[in-house]
Amino acid sequence: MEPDKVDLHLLDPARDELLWRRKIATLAARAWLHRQEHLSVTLQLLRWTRPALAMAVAAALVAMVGASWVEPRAATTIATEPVYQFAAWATTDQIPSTVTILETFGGHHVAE
Amino acid sequence: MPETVALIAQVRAGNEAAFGALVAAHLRPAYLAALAIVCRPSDADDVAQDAFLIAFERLDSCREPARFSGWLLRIVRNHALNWVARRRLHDVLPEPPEQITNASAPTEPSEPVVRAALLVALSTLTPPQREVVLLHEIEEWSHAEIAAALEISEVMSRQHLLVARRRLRENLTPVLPQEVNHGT
Repeated sequence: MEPDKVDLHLLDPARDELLWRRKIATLAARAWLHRQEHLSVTLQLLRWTRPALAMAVAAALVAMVGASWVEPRAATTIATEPVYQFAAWATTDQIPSTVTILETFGGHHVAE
Repeated sequence: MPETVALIAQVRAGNEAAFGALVAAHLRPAYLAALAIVCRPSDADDVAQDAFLIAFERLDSCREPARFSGWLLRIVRNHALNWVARRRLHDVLPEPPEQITNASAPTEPSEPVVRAALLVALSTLTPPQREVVLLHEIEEWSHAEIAAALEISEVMSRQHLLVARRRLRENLTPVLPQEVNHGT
């Protein structure tokens, strides 16, 4: 026994042993139920997470494949744009004929 | 602690009996840690039980089962602090002891009066002092166990206990001279 010890036994929640055991049993049952509910929610989420992830991966793959198909076409389109054509003439010191100019810009106007 | 580690493993495997044993082993420290902050036995009861529900819901996130006590008490303390903040009871004192002045009378004070006086005396301590003195005197934890659970040094634990006991004596002796000396 420690000489300085202050008697705090009246604050001991387990003083009434029967009551304390009952409290433990009630809490254990409640907490167990709570945990099972929580686990079932987590399981549900996990169950949905896999298909959701698979779908996301599939969507990403489709998008990537689609992009690889679209890219060359986009490059071609850019190359035939009048602005680029004009820039090409300027950088190569080419002098296009009037017909070519009309075709280049006229085609553009028709498209609009 | 090895028992706790084994119990946690069993609980994770779905053993309900192990779950009961875990509650039985840790409810009292949880209650005492809550009491150290909320200072009211009825509130401490609610806080400890709520904290247990939270802890068991998150049991899988307890990475170090060997330190379950510390992990649980941290949840209890956070929950108790939220509880106090929510109820705006920062300066909470226990229910005023009704017949505390009667302690000077020749008749021995009744249990509720002594209990109330103890709570009033405890309220004069800081929360860490309360936590240490309650866990040491009631749960009979060693300073090593307290230090590990509260994440303080053993020296600090001893220091808190020393100061807490002295203050409790100072506060209790005038009202409950016999009760204070029960431990001697």
